[in-house]
Amino acid sequence: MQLTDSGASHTDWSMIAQATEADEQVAGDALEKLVRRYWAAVYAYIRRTGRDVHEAADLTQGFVCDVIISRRLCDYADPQRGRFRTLLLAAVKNYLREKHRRDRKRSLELDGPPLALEDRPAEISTNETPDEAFCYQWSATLVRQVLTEVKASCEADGLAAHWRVFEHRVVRPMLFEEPATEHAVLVEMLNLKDESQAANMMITVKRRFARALYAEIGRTVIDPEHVDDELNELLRDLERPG
Amino acid sequence: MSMVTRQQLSEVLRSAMDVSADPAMAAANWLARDIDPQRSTAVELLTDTAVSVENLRKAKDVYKTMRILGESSTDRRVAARLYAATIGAGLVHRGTRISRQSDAALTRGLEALQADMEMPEPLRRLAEAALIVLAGKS
Repeated sequence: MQLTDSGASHTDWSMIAQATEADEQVAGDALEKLVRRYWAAVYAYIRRTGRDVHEAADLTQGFVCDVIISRRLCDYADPQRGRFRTLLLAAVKNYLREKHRRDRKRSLELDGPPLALEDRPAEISTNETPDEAFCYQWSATLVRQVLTEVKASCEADGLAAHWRVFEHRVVRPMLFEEPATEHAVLVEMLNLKDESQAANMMITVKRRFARALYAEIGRTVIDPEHVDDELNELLRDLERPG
Repeated sequence: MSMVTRQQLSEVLRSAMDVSADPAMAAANWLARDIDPQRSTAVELLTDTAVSVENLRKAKDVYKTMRILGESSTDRRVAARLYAATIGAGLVHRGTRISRQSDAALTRGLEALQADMEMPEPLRRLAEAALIVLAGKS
């Protein structure tokens, strides 16, 4: 995956700006949001480098504490220099290299020669590269976040039944690989007029989902004009043949 | 969420992009895909001679509903045109009339589609062909 060819810079710059503010409360809240947003992607990257579940979680936590918080990674983020994802990914790679060097040195000092490569834990069974895992997790986090928002907005606007149709026709098949519930079943279940009404209810929520996705990505790009570029970039990464 | 595949993620992102790529037809295309996942657009669904009468009837019903419930005036206009197009597709591709509309009402709908320069060209051609079939029968 290539994350560097940006004519545009992509990140949630308002969140980054807040994370670097002097007000500790504001900065802390923004950092927490930022970490939640990218945790899964960082973890996925580290996991795909061959670390087991526990080590990957520890390293992710270590990266958050040492690099994002202590070394104030956000201070180095600059919209003119490209996406925050790119900066973050480079920082994770550096962190793992540093960690490896430190561990190797300690191993030489304390335990004699380092382990041979063959002695390292087996890679987990997947064809994904760490960079692909990072992109996949970032996209999945984005979609999950948007789905949560859309569900809440539908419930708040009295469109709970619309959400149920969308959930059964789109969300559950996507997330749980369940077959899409037949329209006739939804008509019965939700007491609708007919199947066409069910189909149109799904469209209402699908449009909300599209708008919310654009809005969410819009918050991560410096110029709203670049939302389509960012989506195309994500799609290129997701659809790259393995 | 971890179970979702790359392909599924990609489909959901692509589907959202329809709104930006073709705002007027996005909802109509989603409905077409919902009826037949093998067809990615309403144009594909309505111009493919292999599409079943059953699916044309479904398309007619969803566009009829969208004609009334559509979120925007554009949605409702597009739905009205597609409603006529589904009936036209039944006539042209399957030799079947899937509507109880009168000839006069159907002719008006098809003529409106044929004259609507904002509608995709293949659908306007379909309307033209359907008008010929209709004229031949009357």
